[in-house]
Amino acid sequence: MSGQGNDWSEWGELWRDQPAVDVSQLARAASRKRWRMRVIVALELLMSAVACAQCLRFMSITTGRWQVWSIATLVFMLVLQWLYLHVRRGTWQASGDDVRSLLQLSLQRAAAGVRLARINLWSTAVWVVLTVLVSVPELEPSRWQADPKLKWTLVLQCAVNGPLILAIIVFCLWYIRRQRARIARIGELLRPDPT
Amino acid sequence: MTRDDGQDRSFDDVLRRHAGLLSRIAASYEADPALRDDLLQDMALALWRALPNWRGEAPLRAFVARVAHNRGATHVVGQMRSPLGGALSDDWIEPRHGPDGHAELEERRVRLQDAVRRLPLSQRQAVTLALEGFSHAEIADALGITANSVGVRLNRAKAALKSVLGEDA
Repeated sequence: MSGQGNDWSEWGELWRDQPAVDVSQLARAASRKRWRMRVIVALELLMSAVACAQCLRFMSITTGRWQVWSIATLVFMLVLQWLYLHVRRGTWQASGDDVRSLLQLSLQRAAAGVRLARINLWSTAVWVVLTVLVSVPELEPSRWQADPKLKWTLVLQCAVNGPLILAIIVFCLWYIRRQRARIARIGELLRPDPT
Repeated sequence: MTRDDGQDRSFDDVLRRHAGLLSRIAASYEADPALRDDLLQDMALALWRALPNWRGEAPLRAFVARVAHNRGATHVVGQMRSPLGGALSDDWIEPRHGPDGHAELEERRVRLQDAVRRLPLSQRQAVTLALEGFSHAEIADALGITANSVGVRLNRAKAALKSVLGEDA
């Protein structure tokens, strides 16, 4: 027993004899990260607020099918924002609970993240179909060929929303893959010690 | 003084007192110097966020170690590649003790760090706390396992460390 204790105390001394950390530099770096995190969140919320305000404005000035489309877009954006907050939460978390509890919580969050990303993929598909259905009258060639302003609006919408939708789909697929890998990894870490 | 100022001052004080502990725990999770520094900053940030929740029911040192290990575990889970360091970096060998004086001691320290990093995560977490002087009960509390499991992990880790270090340590 004393031999075992000697090993640990000898290794412990060696372990603790490590170069000192530059605490003021570490504090500055942590403070910078803290501020960067706050600024990013503020910008993200501002952009979401602007986008929601635009949807609400569009909702108030339109009627019928385009009003339905505005409501669907608002719901879609809120779901998307929810996913982004969920993604960010992983990097925000600071837990004083024990490691096992944190891992179990991470497992639940990863599973919830996969569900959320799937919801996002489906809601994107539904939003695209709805947008196309709502725009059917405007998409008639005879209509947009005769109206240069409408033609320009359609081109602009395709140019902006096409890559955006593609990016959302790629992001969701990447996120699902990443969360599945996390689930597998956490499962390994939570496996009980073999006796 | 605002609440934030008070929190910052208390955080700076805690960070000053436990920077070494955080740094060593970060080193047990990451061999790459840049990623290790980043992880250390994340641990400091996590500590800043978690500190207001500390109610004094556990020693502050144990609380700091727990927050650091939680961040470290999150780091490991987030790494798609194997978190183990592979080749040793020269950065680990700082000539603190002069070019020849304690070079052997430095080398043993670096080998110990590398050996600890190569342990499975469950053993590594228990070992880093044991090396910091935590009791089995404190380690069990920090990791959310039984004291018995701590004993099992430390015994296995000890055998692995002895074999890797070739046992002159």
